[in-house]
Amino acid sequence: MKLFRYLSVLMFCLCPFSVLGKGVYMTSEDFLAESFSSTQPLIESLWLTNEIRDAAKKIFNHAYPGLRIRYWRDSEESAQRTAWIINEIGKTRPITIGITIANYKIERVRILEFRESRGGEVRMPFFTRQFVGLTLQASNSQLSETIDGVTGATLSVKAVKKSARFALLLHQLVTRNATASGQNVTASKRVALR
Amino acid sequence: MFSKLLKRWHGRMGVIAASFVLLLSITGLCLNHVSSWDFDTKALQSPSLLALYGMAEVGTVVSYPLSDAYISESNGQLFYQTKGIGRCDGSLAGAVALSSKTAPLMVVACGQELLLFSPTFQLIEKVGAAFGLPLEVQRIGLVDNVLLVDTSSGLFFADLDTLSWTAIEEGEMPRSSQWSESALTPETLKRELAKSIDREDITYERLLLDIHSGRIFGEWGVYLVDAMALLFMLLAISGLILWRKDRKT
Repeated sequence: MKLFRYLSVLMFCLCPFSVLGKGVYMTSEDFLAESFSSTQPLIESLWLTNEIRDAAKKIFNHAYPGLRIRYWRDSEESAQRTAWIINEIGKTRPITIGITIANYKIERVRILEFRESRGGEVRMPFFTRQFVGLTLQASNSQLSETIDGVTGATLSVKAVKKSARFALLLHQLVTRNATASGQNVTASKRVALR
Repeated sequence: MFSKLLKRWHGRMGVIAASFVLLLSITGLCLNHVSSWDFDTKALQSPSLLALYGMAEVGTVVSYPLSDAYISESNGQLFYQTKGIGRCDGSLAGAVALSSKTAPLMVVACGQELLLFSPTFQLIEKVGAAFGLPLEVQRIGLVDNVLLVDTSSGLFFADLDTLSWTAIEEGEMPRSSQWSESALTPETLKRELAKSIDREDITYERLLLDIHSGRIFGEWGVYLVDAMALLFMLLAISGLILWRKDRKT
């Protein structure tokens, strides 16, 4: 009996804690409720034109799957706040990343779902808070500040950084479009979140 | 006292390690001769062994008719007739053509998401749980050009423009609803799909390597083999100590 007790302890010590990285950490409703705490957001969709698809390819190093992307916008025009939910593959499985941007600056980054067995550390606040306040550099479409990596989570870190860059680019497009002609952006609808 | 305890533990560890020593010896022996025994070229054919790699036999093709064509799924791959149109997250649960406000929309339902396609089957977007889709999708249908989604959490009217999911109470189900029903895949299509499905050949060498390393049982298998390696080390150390003690006495 004792033998099995010791063996259980041994197995526990060898337990792959990294697999605990998998899981749903935040629902989209919670993410949107956190992003638009005082107002009801409007859901809109942006059709990805060839120019946007080319820009996406440069950022992700692969074609963005799909012709349309959904996003949420603050119902108060002056707030210029948008929220994006982007799926990007880390190593083999997609990571669902929620990004809120206000006035061309990242307001928050949240990992909604992590499906890989390694690299789940990117969901931790010590990593995601590095993105707060960052903007997109116009010259090279890079983030305005360097993001410190996480050992053993290189690909997941890259996926989050690329998604943040893409979200910033899309935010620029939709906010400029909204103030100019409104092209590409379909009619918005009020969505009840709570 | 210590010697007795060590002897007892050495025996116990030996019993636990025995089956693993045999398994590792046999697979190790085979791996040493993969080339001469053709294990590096011979591909696995057994469906049960292929299923360990998530590659069920190609015979399991699920198809749903859509207009005069078929949407099929096999080995997690989606096809419009024989054209690959992406991957299916979960089991294929239906396909319908929806007349949207802007353009017709082809909706393909997989267990974990809805895939929206243009009439030429270009992917428009994937709508999953992150967009509020109730899971797990079991079937889809239409009622007066409104999408119906039957999930394990209930029945819903879906508005794909606003991404809203309205629950349908029991007894409120409209009679005119038309559910997408699976159909027998035509043999000619099945044969064509068998050529298109990505099946990298899994050789016996790969199977042996995966058994040897524990990877055949996934990540936990690797850690189990690690634990066994630790056990072998302990056995070697305890064996040496016991041998030295025996020599002294």
